[in-house]
Amino acid sequence: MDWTRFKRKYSTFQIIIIGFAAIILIGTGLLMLPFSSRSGEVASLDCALFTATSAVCVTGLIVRDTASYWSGFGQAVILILIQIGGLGVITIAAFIETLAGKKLSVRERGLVVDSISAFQSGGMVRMTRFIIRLSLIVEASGAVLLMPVFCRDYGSEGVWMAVFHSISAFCNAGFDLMGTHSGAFSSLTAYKGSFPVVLVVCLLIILGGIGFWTWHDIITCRRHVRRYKMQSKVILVTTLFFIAVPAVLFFLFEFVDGPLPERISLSVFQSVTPRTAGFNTADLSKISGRGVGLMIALMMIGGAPGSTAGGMKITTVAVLFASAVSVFQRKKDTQLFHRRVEDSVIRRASALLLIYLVLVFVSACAISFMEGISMRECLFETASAAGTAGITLGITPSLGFFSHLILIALMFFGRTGGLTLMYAAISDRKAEVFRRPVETINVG
Amino acid sequence: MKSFLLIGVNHLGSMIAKKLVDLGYEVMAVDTDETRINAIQSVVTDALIGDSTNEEFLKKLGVDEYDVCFVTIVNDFQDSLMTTFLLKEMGAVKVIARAGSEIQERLLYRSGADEVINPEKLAAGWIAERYSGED
Repeated sequence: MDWTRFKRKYSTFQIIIIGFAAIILIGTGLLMLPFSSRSGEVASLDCALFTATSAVCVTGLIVRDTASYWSGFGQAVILILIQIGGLGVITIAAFIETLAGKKLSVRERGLVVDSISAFQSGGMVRMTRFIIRLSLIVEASGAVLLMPVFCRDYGSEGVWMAVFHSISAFCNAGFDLMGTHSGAFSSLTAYKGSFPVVLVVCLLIILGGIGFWTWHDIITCRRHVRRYKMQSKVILVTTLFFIAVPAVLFFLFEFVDGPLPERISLSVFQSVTPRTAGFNTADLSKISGRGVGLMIALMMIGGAPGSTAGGMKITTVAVLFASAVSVFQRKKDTQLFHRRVEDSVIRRASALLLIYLVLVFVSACAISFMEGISMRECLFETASAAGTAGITLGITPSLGFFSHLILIALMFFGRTGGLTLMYAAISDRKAEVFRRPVETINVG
Repeated sequence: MKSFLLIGVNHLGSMIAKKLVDLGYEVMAVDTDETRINAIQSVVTDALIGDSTNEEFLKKLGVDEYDVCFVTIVNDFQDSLMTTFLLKEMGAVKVIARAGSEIQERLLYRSGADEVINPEKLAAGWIAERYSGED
């Protein structure tokens, strides 16, 4: 089918979904090539599909240890998938098209607007260039900053490690190459005391997670915080809140046996990573029930809209919180930073919260039933998949094919954003010709 | 059971609706105004907010399935005319329209109404007869 007919037939939301699915399938095919794995064996469909989905959806859940199972080629494929998934299939496609000197059509602009959750369609081309240029700059500086430590520890291999971890952190993916050095599935635990690594990785995760629009505001308005868009202010304040508060809580009831600087570093890192990066410097299997609960909540909340992060997004939580406050104060309007929030936004936010809660809970029940594992591990795993976080209590590799399929679906849902998927599935948006009368119903 | 479609929920319309429900019939009430529909909603079988001059909306209503359609729109005669015409065109079995003057009566007949009622004229006749016999 040719491109123009294809565009006319499907809605923008459907094309975004199809784009992501297509990249996942291509990635699966590439990972199944014999020279993608270190041993030269052909990876099973389950393993390749899971890894490709995890990479494109920037999750970081893995069934085979990235460093010890995949060859250099396989790792490169994973890294490219992470980069495409992190910036968004459509953003990259639009960028390549403009590089080739083509002008984007009105419909293609609409596609870009929907895929990076923009406000208007003006300046879209400039925006995609801005996103990609800034991403590359941040990733390159991250790699340069990580290089001294990694080169000291691993010699020339350290260059590749620095590049891989920088991109993986910035895209909030959480894939790591530590498996051959500090034991399979060890993530960054070997660097729990290394401040340069912890600091750089944290910064990369946060920068990736606050979203392209927030960067745009920061770069164009600089110190003039008042001129920031309301959304950027909300994102910055909630991000700060969701880093500081969990860090304090982690400090109070986890990692009590370590020395003080290590405790602080561990607390901060474990509070940054669930939303939604997926590295860990602490052994998660030793974390208490309180810590697990807190992490599940953080994973579901996720990052900012129009960013490399997943989850139901911090703005959703902020809007619901503001709406609850307005109910308690018996005010008619919901307000954030002296601006009114539209009712339709609040409805979308509550719909998102509901589908996330239901999906995470129901799929955790299903996996728990099929595999006979306790709900604690399963809830952690499904929240991690739906929030595209990628931290795990260690059950991912041992799960069966159907549990993996559930996780794949959750990751896909988490990355494309629940509503995009719903809008794509229900494309029939005819204007309503009538409304029903109002009748009161009591809630609460 | 007989079912009625009632378009235009004003004084006349709502009184017709209430009486029909009292008599045990099913009534679907339609109006463009949300407050009027919300007010009648607890009385009638079902109610919808919508524009009866919109063909799409009438199609969704399935006007040919009602035994009788009342067009009791006041204040906007053009809407009355268009609704009556559309109802008949879509195969409504019996359309009863309300007119405010004799010219309106004739126009409504022209656009297909099966019966036209002019409430003021009816009331006037009744009042004249009722009080002319008195001495």
